[in-house]
Amino acid sequence: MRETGTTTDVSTSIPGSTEETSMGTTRGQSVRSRADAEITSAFTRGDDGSLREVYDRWSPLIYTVARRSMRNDDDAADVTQAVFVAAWQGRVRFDPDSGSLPGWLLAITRRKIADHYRAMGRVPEPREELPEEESADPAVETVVDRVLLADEISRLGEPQRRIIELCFYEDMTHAQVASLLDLPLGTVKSHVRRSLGRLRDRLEVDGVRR
Amino acid sequence: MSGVESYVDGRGSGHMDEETIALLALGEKVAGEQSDHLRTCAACQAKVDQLRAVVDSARFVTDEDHPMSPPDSVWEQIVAAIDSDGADRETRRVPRGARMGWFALAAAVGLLVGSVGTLVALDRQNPAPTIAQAELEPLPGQNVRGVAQVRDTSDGPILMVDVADLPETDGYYEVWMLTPEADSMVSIGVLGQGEVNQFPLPAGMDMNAFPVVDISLEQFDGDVTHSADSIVRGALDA
Repeated sequence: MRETGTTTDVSTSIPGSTEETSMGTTRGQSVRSRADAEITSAFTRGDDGSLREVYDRWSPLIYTVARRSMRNDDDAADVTQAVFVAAWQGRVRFDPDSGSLPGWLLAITRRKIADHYRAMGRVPEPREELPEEESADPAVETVVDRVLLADEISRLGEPQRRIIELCFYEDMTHAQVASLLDLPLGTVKSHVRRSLGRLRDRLEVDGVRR
Repeated sequence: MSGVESYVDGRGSGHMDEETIALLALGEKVAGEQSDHLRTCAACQAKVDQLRAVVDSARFVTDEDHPMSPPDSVWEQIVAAIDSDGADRETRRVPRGARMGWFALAAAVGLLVGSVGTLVALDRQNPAPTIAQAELEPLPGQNVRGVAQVRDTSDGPILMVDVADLPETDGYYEVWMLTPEADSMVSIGVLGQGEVNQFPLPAGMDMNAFPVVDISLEQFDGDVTHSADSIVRGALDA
């Protein structure tokens, strides 16, 4: 293990404090903030306390993917626990050059969900009590995309978030949005382009397909 | 700010600009010449398709898809699973100095050094020479005071802490040494019942790097990081 210096690195000691929402980021950086990179390095080194930071940062993502895939809070909690125990014990197998840490955690999550169903001796089935439009069990991939997108949309600053929500969920054109929010057309177009790019990047970086 | 950064409009090179591509992905109509281009340019069409897939997924996002934290019991189970495995002590030992917030500022300033009668108690317990001393001052909302000293014993330096009248708690008190900025720290140990406690300092411990003695109130929550609930604090005058 590591030396007994038992000190913590300044740069890795403030998880979540540097949640960046600036819109001027270049591709890729927007979804891999400096804080995330530092948490990832600490985890890779096996630093004391790094598992807690990884857990604090990404357990909501993992838990929600499991919850939306399995539709059972207890099962989702079990899978979440199994994912982080497996991740810590198998951390030497994580290669930061081949993908992001949340992407790797999500890959473990997919396996744990599959293991769960295998242990139950069945493949996932739709639940009768759910409304008709949800009757098809959503593939885990679809769930991962939706949860990552929900997370990234919530991290957009304003007015970017409002603009994107109006475009997505109110079906407004950029001209209607510009008029509603009293913003120049060019500003709205620019925000739309950057926000969509950021969402696409998040799926590319964290939503790895295995 | 216009919000439009210097941007190469693709038309110069024959391709569509990225803003138009984004609008197409959202299902908006664009000028005829642009859609003519799209029909004949596989590269631009591929970009539109890629963004449209993102838009299509995003339009199915519901409130339930927003990440929510798992129950606290999940972390406790993780700690138990790793501990019982015996392979790791990740969960005990050195916490990371997280969530200190503005308490950090309090540590860095206002470090008056005086002396109080409790030093006699320290002397009685361990007569080794004192090489550094800190007056422990209450943090806002607290009224506990104390003294900490580093003594040079034949077995190496020890930290002696004398605090009285700590509030009763369901949790426990933990002793830390922090950087002046309180952005990094070393866990020294858990405070025992008596008024005077002593702790061996790790060999190689740099008191100049971690001069601030801090006592925090911790809960039995399985979280080994500093609770950010500091009670008293003071800087060594060495």
